[in-house]
Amino acid sequence: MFLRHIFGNKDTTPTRKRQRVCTEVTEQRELPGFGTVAVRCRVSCVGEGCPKPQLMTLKALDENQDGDIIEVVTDNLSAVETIPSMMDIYGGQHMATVREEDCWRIYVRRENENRTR
Amino acid sequence: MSSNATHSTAAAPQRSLLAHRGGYTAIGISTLVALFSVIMLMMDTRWVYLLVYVWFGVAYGVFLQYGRFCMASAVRDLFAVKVPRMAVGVMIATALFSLTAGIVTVSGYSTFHPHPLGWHIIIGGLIFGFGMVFTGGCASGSLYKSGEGNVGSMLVLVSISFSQALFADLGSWSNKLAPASWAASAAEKGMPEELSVTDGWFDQFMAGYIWDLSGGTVGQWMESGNVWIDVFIGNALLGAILPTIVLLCILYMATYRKGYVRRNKLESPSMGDELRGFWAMMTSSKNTALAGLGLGVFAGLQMWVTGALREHYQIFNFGELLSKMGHTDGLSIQQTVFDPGYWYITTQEAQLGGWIMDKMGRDVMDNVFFGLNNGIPNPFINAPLLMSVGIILGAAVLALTRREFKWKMPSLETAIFALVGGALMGIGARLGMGCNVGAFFAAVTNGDLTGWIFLAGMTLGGLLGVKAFNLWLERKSIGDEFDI
Repeated sequence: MFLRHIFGNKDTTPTRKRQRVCTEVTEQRELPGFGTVAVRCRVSCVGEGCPKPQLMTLKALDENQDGDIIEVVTDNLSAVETIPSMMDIYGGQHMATVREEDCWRIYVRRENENRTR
Repeated sequence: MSSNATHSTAAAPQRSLLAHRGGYTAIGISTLVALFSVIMLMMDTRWVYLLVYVWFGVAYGVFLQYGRFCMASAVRDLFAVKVPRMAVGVMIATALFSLTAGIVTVSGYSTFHPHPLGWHIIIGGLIFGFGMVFTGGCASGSLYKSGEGNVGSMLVLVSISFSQALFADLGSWSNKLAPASWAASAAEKGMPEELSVTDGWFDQFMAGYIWDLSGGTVGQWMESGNVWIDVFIGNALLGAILPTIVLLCILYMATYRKGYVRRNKLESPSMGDELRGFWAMMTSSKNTALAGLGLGVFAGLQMWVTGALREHYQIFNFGELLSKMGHTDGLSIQQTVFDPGYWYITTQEAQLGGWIMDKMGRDVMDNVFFGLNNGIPNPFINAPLLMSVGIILGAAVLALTRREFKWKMPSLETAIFALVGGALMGIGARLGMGCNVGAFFAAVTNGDLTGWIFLAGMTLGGLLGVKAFNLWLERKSIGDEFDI
């Protein structure tokens, strides 16, 4: 169907070796409502315009295991607004958005096993 | 659900408005707007007509920034990451504006004119939508992003202004691009010599094609004899709300449902589950939904206030008021200026481009667009243009208060995309008779179905734009740090 063609799952077979968007970190973070959690990796997209932060977050979800916590650092306001509502769709959990002086840190956790994409 | 999408300020403790420099600047801008209003009113109370535009612009800017409300991301996020956040916000605003606009129409203050129906709408929408993906913001989005300090978006505004003005004032070389029937039809219109309607592609397009078309609203076609039924059943329900609900259902089925069903481990979702899922999609971004509500109410309110002012001053167009006050410079030959009376973006930007070109010595008044209809008033007394300035200032005030204002210089790539995409948006907006606001939002909510055609064109253009954009990233990323 036409809609499936537009919205349907893309074939994501890697055509060449893809490089990771995440930097591995081992940090303890205090998140409101979750207590102290271990952050697994960081995606830094300060200065990137829409829709790159969103796409990089999706890629980071792919690169990690279930339960891993990812920290997305961005200064793009639409991304700050969009990434939490993306999680409902892509099998992740939005944990918190922390405001800093000139950027935002968004914490998401990969959840389901049979994720879209 | 991400009801916890509120921005926690755990790391940077909440500080009062005056504890940071942005707060002072925000207060400064607000004071300037207030001061400007007071001075204008002291000079002549009739300037209130212009100030209404400014004030509503400020309100729109605040809402746009609050909800990060951008039609470009509505289309682009939908196709690039399949997130319906912004599309939902736009639909909420549309449904609500159709009701507030209905109230205005019933009370007899409506300033809306339906757009002529024709192929130009879908083609204009297509070009506009394609350009929009590359600029990273629609016409209204670029305004509020400029208010956040985004220099790339300011370049988009410059590009939209001049590409529209140049396109509306194409020279004689473009005559052979227009069908001979347009020239013949344009010549029959009996327009004054100085407009030279048979000279220039855009003039022939307007006089020889657009003027031969007609349009109307759902309410006008129903002719039920009862204005309430025409307006609320015809224009609002059939013309805007039902299509909105259908689109939202399609969005839910195509994007949101799968994740919702899986997340809540629903084996065979009942109707109640589906409705709860639908509601979860609607409220997945509260800021966007709230901004949609605010925009819907204020857009209606602006029509009402402007309509009431026109009745009070016994005018049909701001141009009459300007000539009474002695400002006849830049009026069209009908003594009119562009004065839609509702939320509009692109035409006033074209006027700015036209005014600057006029000052640089080019005759831009020899065409239909500027010479007959819109004029090129001085930017300082161009009411709709000051509404756009108001949007920038309103967005800046909120961004500064929320400490979100940041000067962002574009990279060379972003700058080129902004200029080229902006030029495409300008051409698309002139072909389609408006942008995502004037040709879609203000149109469908008043029962003018041509707005849905523009949206279809814009969506298709957006889809093609996303494809082209991905191709570009793909090409660039070979050997680059990562691909998307």
